[in-house]
Amino acid sequence: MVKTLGWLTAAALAAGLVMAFGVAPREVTQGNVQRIMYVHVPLILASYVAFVVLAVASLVYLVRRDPAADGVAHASGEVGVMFVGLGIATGSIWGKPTWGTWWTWDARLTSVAILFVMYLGYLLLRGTIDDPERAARYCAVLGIVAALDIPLVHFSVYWWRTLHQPPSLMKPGGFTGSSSILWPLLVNLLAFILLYVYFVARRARLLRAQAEAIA
Amino acid sequence: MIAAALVYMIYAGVTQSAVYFVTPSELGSAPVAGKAYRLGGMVERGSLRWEPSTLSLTFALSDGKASVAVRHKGAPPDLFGEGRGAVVEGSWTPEGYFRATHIMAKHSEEYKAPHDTNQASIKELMRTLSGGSR
Amino acid sequence: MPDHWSFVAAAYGLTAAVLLIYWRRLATKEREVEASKRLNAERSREPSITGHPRSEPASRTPLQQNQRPGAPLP
Repeated sequence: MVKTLGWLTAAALAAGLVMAFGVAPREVTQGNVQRIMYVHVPLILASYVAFVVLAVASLVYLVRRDPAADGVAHASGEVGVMFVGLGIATGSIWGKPTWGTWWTWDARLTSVAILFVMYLGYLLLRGTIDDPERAARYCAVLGIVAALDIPLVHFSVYWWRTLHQPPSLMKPGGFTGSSSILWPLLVNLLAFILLYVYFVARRARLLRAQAEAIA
Repeated sequence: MIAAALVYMIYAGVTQSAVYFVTPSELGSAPVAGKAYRLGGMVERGSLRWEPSTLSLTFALSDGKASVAVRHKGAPPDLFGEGRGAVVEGSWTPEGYFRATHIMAKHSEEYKAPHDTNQASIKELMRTLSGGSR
Repeated sequence: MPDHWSFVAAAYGLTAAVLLIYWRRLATKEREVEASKRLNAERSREPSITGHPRSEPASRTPLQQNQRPGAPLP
């Protein structure tokens, strides 16, 4: 089951790469550097998915005290932090040649930095509490509260003045650029969401096995 | 308790960067010489002058109502140009111009293939610059 | 507009490297847990030191008399 998902993900990622470099055109104003978008945007959006799943799983854990829900939350936290960290790094690499800066403290970049630090703290909190039941409970609360930052990140570009441009994909009225740019973006988004699901499935299975090995 | 503290931290952090830049009208109404500002606007058409020999760059930033003269030493980023958005960091001088120490280009969220460009993207960019004025 | 291919390569390269490292680490951890599970299973088959005291030879059944401690059951 997980193995099949792995192959499906690998195929989707390969298709995404072909789309990003073979199908997508050289963008008019930015040139080829715009191709960073096909990895930057899916990474960030997939991290939103990870953190929303984390919050829902945390809520389920608090209600039912089901260790499986805690496992999904824990795994999502790990993958989400990795994705948002890579999203920030690729954004920074994209920003240098286009904006003329690696980093600036506008509302979008600040709120996404807070998102990264909060979920990093979430993972550290798990490591510092020895009692697994207590760790799961505290992390569930943090996981629900931290999710409040997601709308802040997303809407920051509308609510405040920022250097970062508004969303291209997740905006009212939908994508308005060229369709030859939209499709590669959507394929890569699907690929990264699959990659998230695959990683979480495997990580949660591993967490279960680790818990059994200790017990 | 922890939750409330966290929410406050997020809020404080983001509102800190809420007024990320001032507009030319805001700066023009009460400029303080020597104070550090971040100024955002559109690079006015016909105002851009670049001298590669002296690395001196001059242009005017405008928000449609007011315009501020900006001087800078050094090459601008690739996406910087007339009719496009820019955010500059620097200070207001007693001589009556803005001395920029860092220039950043703001770009549109519309990405286009070579064959279907249109002028709408510039209008969009204007909108993103004027948007979020709080 | 220059293309900045080096920046594109850096963004994709970094992403690929980090994802690959995470994937490899998952596999390594899975093998480790598998190995420790096997070890635990083997240990639980051995008579434990704190467990039941060994019976006197006279009271052993023929099957027990043939068996050395720690050897797998027939």
